[in-house]
Amino acid sequence: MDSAGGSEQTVTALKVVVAGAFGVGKTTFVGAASDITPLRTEEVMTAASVGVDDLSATPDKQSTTVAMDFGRLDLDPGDTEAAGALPLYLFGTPGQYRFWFMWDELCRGAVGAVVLVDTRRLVDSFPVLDYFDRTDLPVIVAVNGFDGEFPHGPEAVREALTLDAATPVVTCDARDRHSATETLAHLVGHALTVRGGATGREPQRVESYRASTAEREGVTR
Amino acid sequence: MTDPDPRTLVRPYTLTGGRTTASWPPETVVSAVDAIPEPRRPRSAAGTLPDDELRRLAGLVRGPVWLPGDVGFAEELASTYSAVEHRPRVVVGARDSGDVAAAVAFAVERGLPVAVQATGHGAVRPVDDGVLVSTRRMRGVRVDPDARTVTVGAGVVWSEVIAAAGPYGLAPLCGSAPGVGVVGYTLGGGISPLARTFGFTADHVLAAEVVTADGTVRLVDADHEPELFWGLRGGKGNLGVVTTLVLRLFPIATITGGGLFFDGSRAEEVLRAYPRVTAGLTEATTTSLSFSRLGHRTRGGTLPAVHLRVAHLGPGADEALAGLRALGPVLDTVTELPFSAIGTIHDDPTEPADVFKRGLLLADLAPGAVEAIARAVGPDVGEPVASVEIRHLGGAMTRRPEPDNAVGGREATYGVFVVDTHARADRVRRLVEALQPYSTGAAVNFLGTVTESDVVATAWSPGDYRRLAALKGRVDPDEVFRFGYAIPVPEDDGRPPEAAAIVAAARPWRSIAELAAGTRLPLGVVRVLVTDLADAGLVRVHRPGTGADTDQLERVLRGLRRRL
Repeated sequence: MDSAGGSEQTVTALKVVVAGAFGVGKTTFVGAASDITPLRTEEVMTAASVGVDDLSATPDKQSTTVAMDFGRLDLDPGDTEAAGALPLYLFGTPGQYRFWFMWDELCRGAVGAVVLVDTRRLVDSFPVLDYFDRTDLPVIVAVNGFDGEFPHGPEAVREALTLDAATPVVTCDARDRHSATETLAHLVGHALTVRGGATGREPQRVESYRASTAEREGVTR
Repeated sequence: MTDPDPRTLVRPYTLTGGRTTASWPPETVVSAVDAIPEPRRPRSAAGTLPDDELRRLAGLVRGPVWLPGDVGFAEELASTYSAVEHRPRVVVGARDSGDVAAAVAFAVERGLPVAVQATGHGAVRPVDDGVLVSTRRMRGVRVDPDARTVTVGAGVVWSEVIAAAGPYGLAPLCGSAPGVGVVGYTLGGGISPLARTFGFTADHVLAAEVVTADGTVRLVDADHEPELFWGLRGGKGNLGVVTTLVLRLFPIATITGGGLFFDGSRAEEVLRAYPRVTAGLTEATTTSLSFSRLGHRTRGGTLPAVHLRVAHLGPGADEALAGLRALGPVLDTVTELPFSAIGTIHDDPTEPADVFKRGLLLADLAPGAVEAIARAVGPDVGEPVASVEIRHLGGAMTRRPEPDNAVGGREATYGVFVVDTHARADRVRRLVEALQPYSTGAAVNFLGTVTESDVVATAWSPGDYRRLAALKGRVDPDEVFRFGYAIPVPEDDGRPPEAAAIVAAARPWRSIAELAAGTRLPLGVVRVLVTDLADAGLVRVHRPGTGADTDQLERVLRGLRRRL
């Protein structure tokens, strides 16, 4: 079939959530791994529950937009039989924690999440990790080495973030295509382990410290 | 405006008319269903008109008139460039705008459509009906050296303008091929070898004389019929027959131009370097990169197959072009040229050829797009596509003129144009399909062998397309001008125009997130429109995969590892 009409083709889209604190390199990571120039899409939120037509009629209504940057990898798994296209979408989470409910929707059906952290500002990552603690989404923590430097080893990061033993901690360079792709492969490998069923994650962690930090930061959910 | 309390926020469009839309996540893929009904086409009455009736046109015009079978009919239709064979019911060799107006009025009174041809460079499909107005006799060229303008008739080709303006030290923003007609080229935007320096040629149109579907000759400019003036510049032939254009000239005597040629074995290497070497260029330099299976024409000698064309205006050429020259061409013909030699830069073929062409615009030469082109032209490809041309756009082309016009594609950074024989059209389609995910649309002059109105629609932003279609509905409601890249008069299907933009973009497939980014609509609005379109059978929605499916995870992992 030379020029299959788009409608004939099977397309199985999957997604990975790229999360992390503001300024940690989420968009850089998405751009490095993506085959397309990262795009931005917006969701409009309004303060009242009415139909779309009513919105235009009341311009003074309070509303706000939440932006998400995303990219796409057109994966070729090298299938022996034609099994259709396999795009993998990377969604950078909206920066404002006030919009946690957007994260819920974004994470539904996801392969997992890469949580990017910056060792200079580990505390900024607490609310993000708290969020994923409450989900059953496979998560790996990727330490973004700014300027290619990793002053703290993965174990030190694991301890500082009070991560359990089952959560992988890797280092990466968010600017580098190979490194970003490798991080994604790590995540998918981890997801396979978790989804394989044998190793459910043990929720043996110290919640209190991060939770109290999150409250101090004014994060509510 | 301060953000409202997020706890009170809801998405405003989860309910439409009491119906809940499907809660598709943003990665949900949507693909256009191919069997889109062609828009309404008015029936032509030509079949029922006797030849005697058609011959009455000869008494209404100064120029010659031919019917099929007449001596001269085929010769008049034979075009400079195209091998497309037209079969209209009657041909008029118009001598002036009065002839054009008479022919249009004659056609409209009898329910016939009207086609126009100058050089035939823009012939898309055979004209098989109605009245064909041949403008090749309308050859007036008048240069005003003080105002730095030129007034040209509908049949004038660029080489005539170059020759007329040159003695005054002036030059037009002509196309790469001087044999192309000025009017058709300019109405489609016009991407000159100096486009990055000056913008689209249509941005420098000062006035036009046009015969509209009511048979009226109208003079339009910024102050007279400004909406028509907006639409003519970029709307191609949709709004009338342009009989005269007034264009700005530029004080250019010489340019630095020519070609850097590379051996075909270096095709992939030069392709991969092209985004990098063009990123550093200023607006003074416009380049394009052409890959040809057949080798390139040059002024004699052997013909390497990779041709990087260069045009630079002003001083500092050596510094500006150092990065390009560092690629190490086997032949470097770039030198200071009189403007009159601008056609040698591209050295485009001028013989009629029966080819299949397609073009599209790219926001960027993303790695995936480069891969797709490399697969089509690279040295290891058994039989590469006959011709692939990449034009570096941007620069002054991104800036809208004052007053604004209907030229699309300002956001594109590269344009790709693919050509092969009809027998090998599948190769062209395959490459275009592979590039589609990176595409921002198409330039109307480079749409190629396309007739589907939803593909034609990609030549404009959704907003400009809607505005053009509405204008068409006012000035040509019966679609008298329905040949070429015709914009159909919109039928009210109760759907907003954004829905048509979504169908056009969902080829071969796009995610809801990409459709939202492309149409600049919020995700929720796109979900609503996609729900409507899916209900109407115009798009298919592909259920996304799930991270809980280990088979799917294994495929993703394999796909990622193959990249490492």
